[in-house]
Amino acid sequence: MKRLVAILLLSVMLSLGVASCTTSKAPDTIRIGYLANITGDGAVWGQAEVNGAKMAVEEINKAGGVLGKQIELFVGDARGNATDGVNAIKKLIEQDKVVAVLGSNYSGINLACAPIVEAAKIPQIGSFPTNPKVTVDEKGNVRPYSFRLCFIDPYQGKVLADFMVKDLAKKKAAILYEVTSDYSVGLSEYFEKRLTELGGEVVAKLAFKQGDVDFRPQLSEIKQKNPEVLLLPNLYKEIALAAKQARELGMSEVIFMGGDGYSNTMLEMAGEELQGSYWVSHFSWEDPGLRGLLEKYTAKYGDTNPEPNAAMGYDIVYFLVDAIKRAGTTDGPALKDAIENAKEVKLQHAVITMDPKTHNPLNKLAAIHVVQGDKIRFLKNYAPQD
Amino acid sequence: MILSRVLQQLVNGLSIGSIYALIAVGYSLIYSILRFSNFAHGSFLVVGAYAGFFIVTAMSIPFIPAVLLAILTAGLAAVTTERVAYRPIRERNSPTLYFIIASMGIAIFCEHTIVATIGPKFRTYPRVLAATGVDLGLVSMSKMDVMAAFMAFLFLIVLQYFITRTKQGCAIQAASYDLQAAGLMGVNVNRLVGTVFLIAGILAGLSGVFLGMKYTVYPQLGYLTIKAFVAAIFGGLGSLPGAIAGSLLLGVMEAFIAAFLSSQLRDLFVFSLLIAVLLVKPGGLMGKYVEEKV
Repeated sequence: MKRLVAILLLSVMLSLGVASCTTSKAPDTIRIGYLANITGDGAVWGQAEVNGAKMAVEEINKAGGVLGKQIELFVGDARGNATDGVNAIKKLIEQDKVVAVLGSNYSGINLACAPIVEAAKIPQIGSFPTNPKVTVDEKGNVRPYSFRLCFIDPYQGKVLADFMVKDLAKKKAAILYEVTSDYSVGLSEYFEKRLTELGGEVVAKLAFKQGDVDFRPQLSEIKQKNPEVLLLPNLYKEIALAAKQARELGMSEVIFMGGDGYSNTMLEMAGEELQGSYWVSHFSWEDPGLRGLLEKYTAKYGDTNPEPNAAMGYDIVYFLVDAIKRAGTTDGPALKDAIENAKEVKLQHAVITMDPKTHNPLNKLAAIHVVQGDKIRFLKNYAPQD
Repeated sequence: MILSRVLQQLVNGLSIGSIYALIAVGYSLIYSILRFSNFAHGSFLVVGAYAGFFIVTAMSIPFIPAVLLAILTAGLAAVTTERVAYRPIRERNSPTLYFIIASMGIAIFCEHTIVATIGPKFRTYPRVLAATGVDLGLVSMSKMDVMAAFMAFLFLIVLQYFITRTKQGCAIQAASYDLQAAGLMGVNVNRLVGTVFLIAGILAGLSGVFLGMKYTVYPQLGYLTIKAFVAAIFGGLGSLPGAIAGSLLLGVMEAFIAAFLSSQLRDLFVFSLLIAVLLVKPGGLMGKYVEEKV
C-alpha cells in the first residue's frame, strides 16, 4: 500500500514537473540571462552590472521591446567562482530558457562556461573577462558561442608596460600576483613580456593565493630588490591590502600600478597609500560621452560614483538587442552570427566592431587613471605604439 | 642582510601567528569540552569585527572601551548561539555529527545574514594608530601589529590564569576530561558550557577586531579561521599551550616558506609539513599525551 501511494505521488509530481516545463517552453517574452557575481568578493561590480542591465531592459521595454516582444532579464549568481558560475549558467539555460547570456566579468568563470554555451548553442557575451582564452581556445580556434565586449589581458599588460617605460620612465618592476586567478597570472605574464621587450626588468615576482589577506612575507622579499614600480594585477581588496602593507614595511617610494581590478572602494581602505598610483581600465565616467548615462543611473539608484561596470551592464544589453534585431530571430546559431558580424554598433562607452576571428572587439582604447586625493581620476586614453 | 631578511620574516610570521592563536585557543577550548569542531567560530569573529566597526564609527566612544564593547558583543553572540543551537542538541544527547552540521549551518546563516542586511561591501576601520611602520633598523613592522600581538598575549595570559587558578577554571579542566562526570560531581554544566562559549566568543571577537583593523571588515572574514583550526590540530587539539604554539609555528612557517622557498606553493609545503608532523605525532605537538589538557 505504502509503495502504491509512493508511486502515485511520484507520478503526480513528475506530471506536474512536465506540465511546468511545457508551459515555460514557449514564453511570450524574450528571455535574457545575466551571469553576475551578486554575492562574494566581487559583488560590488556584479550588482552594478545588473543595475545597469535592468535600466537598459526597462528602457527598451518602454520603447516597445524587440521583435514585438518584451524583454525579461534573469540574473544568475556566479558568486565569484567557476563552480557556482557553471551552476548558475546551467540554470539560466536549462530552466529559465534564456536566448543569450550576458556577463560575467571574470575570466575564470567564462572559461568554465564556454563548453556549456557551445553545447547549448546559446551565445554568451562577457563584460570584462580579459583573459584571451575566454574566446579563443589553446589551439587558436575561436570558441563559437563565446564573446566579450572588453579588451584582453595582453593588451592591458602591454599598455601598463608601455606607460611605465615611456611615460613614467621607470625600468625596474616587481609583481605580486594571485596564483589562483587566470586574470592575474595572465596579466603578469603579458606585462613581463612587454617590459622585457622595452628593455625593462622584473626584479621580483611573488605569488599569493585566493583568500589571502597578509602579503608581508612576499612584500618583505620584494622590498629587498628595490623595485621602482610594484605591479598589482589583482582585485581591489588585495590591491588595497598590499599597498597598505607595502607602505607599512617601509616601501615609501615605490609606485603602484595595476589593471582593471581596481575599484573606488579601495580608496576607503587605503586612500593614503594609493596616492599617485596608476590604473588601466576600459573607460572612464569622466568621458563626456558617458555623462548622460551617469546622470540616469544616479537618478535611478542614487549612486553618484558607481563602478564603471554599470555602464557595461547597460551597454551589453543594447549590444545584444541590436544583434537580435539584425538576426530577426532569437535562434541561437542565427543570433551568434549576428553578434559575430556586429559592425560599428554605437554604444554609450564605445563603438563596437566585433572581430569574427577572435570574438574580441576591435581597436578599443584603454583609459589610464591616477589616484589623486579621494578620487581615481581619468588621466588619458592610451593606445600602445608598436 | 640575510639576518635582516630572516628577522623580518620572523616578525611577519609571529604577527600572523598571534592572531591565529586567539582564534585557535577559543576553538580548542570548545573542542575540549564538547568534542566537536565548531565551524561557527568564524561567525563570532565576524560579529566582533562588525560590532567593533559600528561602535567605533557610529558612536563617539573612545577606542579601548569600544573594543571591549565589541568583544563583549561577540561573547554574547557565542553564548546565544550555544543556548539556541547547541544546548537542545546537547540535552538530547545527539551524536557529535549533529553539532558539526549545526555549526556549519550557523556559519552559512551568519555570512548570508550579513550580506543581506549590512551588505557585501568592505568596511574600513578609521585609522586609530598611524599606518606608518616602526623601523627598528633590521626589521620594520606596523604599530597595529605590535599592539595586536601584545593584546593577544595579555588575553592569553589572563585566560591561562583563569583556567588554572579559579574555581570555574578548575571546573572547566574537569569537564575537559569528562563533561558528564563533572556534572555528576555537582558542576553546573549549562553554566560551565556558557562560560566556555563566552570566553571563546570574546577571544574570537578580539581577533575579529584586529583582523578588521588590519584587513578591513567583510562577510567572509571568518574564513580565516580555517588556518587557525589547522593550527589548533597541529598544536594538539584540546591543549591551550598547544594551540598557541601551533598557531605561532604555522604563522612563521607560512612566512618563511612564502619568502624563501616558493610563494606559489606555500600552502602545499605548509600542509605537507603538517601532515608529516601528524603522522609522527598523531596527537599534535602537545595534544593528548600531555597530562594537563586545558
